[in-house]
Amino acid sequence: MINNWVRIKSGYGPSVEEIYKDRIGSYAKFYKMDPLSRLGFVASELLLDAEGSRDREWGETRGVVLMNATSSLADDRNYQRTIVGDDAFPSPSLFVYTLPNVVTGEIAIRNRYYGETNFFVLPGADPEQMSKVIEMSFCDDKLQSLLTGWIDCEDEEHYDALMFIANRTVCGRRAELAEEIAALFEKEIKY
Amino acid sequence: MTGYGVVSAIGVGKDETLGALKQKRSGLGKIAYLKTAHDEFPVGEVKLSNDEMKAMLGIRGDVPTTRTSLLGMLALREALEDSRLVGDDLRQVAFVSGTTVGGMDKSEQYYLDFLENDDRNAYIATHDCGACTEMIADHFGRFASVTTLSTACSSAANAIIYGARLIKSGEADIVVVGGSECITKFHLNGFNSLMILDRDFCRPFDAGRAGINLGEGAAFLVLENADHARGRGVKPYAQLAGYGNACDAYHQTASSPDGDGAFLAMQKAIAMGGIGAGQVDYVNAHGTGTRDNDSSESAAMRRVFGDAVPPVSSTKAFTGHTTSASGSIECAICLLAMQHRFLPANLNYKGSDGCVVPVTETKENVDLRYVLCNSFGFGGNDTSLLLKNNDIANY
Repeated sequence: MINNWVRIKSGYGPSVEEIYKDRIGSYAKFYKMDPLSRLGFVASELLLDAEGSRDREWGETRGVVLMNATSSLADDRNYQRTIVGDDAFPSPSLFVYTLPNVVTGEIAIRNRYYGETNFFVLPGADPEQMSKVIEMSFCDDKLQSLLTGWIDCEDEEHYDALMFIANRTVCGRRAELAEEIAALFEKEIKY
Repeated sequence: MTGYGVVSAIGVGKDETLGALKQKRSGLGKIAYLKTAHDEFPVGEVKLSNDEMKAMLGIRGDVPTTRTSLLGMLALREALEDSRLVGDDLRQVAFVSGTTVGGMDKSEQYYLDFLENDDRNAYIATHDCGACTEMIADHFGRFASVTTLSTACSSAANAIIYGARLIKSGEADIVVVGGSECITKFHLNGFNSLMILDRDFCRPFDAGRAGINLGEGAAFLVLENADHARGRGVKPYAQLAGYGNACDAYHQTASSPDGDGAFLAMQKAIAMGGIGAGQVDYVNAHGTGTRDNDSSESAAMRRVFGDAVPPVSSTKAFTGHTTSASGSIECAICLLAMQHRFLPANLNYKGSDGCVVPVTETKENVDLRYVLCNSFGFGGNDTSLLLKNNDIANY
């Protein structure tokens, strides 16, 4: 069911910023983003290149639903460092990323997707739970496809993204989808 | 719209609110009820302690409640009385309330205790937004359904849209909709992080505007389909003639310079009302007093109305920005303006830097047939409501 996917993980291959410079390189907003959004943005760009879907106007037919276990903790910590001390002033530019669902917005805005955007913070990368969330998203009749997956970023050195496109064929086949997701988690890095 | 109730810094109930609006009496002042180190920021607090509100509502002092729910109960009580809804009537009524802060006030107070005594602290269960709505509802009886909407500062306006859609789709004949929100450190500090709180009284649309003063309060409106209202023998104040919601998708917190979301929201509301933009008699603007919002909203209004922008005012220098409750509080202000035939003033305005020029004095004896009420949330979640005055048959 999953044809297009991307896996980026810390400790394997180049860093997120190196991938950005090497493969994307023309979206200045990248440098404003927090680590989670950078990871999600880069993964989505590579995924959409692989899908070859850039010219299509998806509108409300495509959504973005992502999941992780550490929420926006990487940015939360960076933000907290700006509060410490008597003269400290909390950084506005870090503050606006202290929510995990900002990354879903970044991706939807970049690609003009007007379908559902959602972010779930789960106990861990459980393929069964992930497939449940994905299948449930298709209860929305307008939705034809979903940019979805696992995107976890504890800090700049510890991250893991498995992002893929799901479409309505997953409906009613939750167990199969869970098996496919589990198999992808076992595979090599791909970007 | 067959009933409404409102509580804010300018008064408890419609009468006090009307008096303050007409006499240009602002509710802004020094922080008195919220315990915070940031007393440099003026706010629009409701001038009642939680204990005083409990006494007014007949709630025992030791019952755990949140300030958001107490404010909501005061407003809902007035709305239900106004629309003559009692006891078992509520079983037919869908209740929809908007809030984003919810029970954060008590979580701030007891946070350290939560860590130590998590299963014994009653305020853990009152923390979330839904719990506040449930508390408000439970004080009055059993509603057909209870729903909470949370879209930051457009929450209450979106609750009104949601309620209207319940009626349109036949899911309900009658709904009570609005929002409630108290001031907390959580969002006072959050807005301070964004550097958009003004240390002086806020000055919406003024060239020297420097940000928001936070406010708090609640308002609820009773909406029902026309047949249902006739069946109950209640007279409508006004009709929700149209509504629009659109998203800017520009930045996490700031509005787009051209006001795309605001423009689309107003355009949709006017189109649904089946009127031309020229028929709008007054706009109650979102007008927070931030540099970005007021210039963006002005740009959007010019796109909708061209050179003929109708009288505009932001009433936030009266109430402060009541965040999630602002949509229904300002809707209540619009209903008062229609019913009592006046234009509320935009306080503290001195001069333009290119924004629309607002109404600066209360203007009496004005017939308002169509009024637009704007509420914009973070992320550019923008809502505009079009109200139609039922008392004016022809224009």
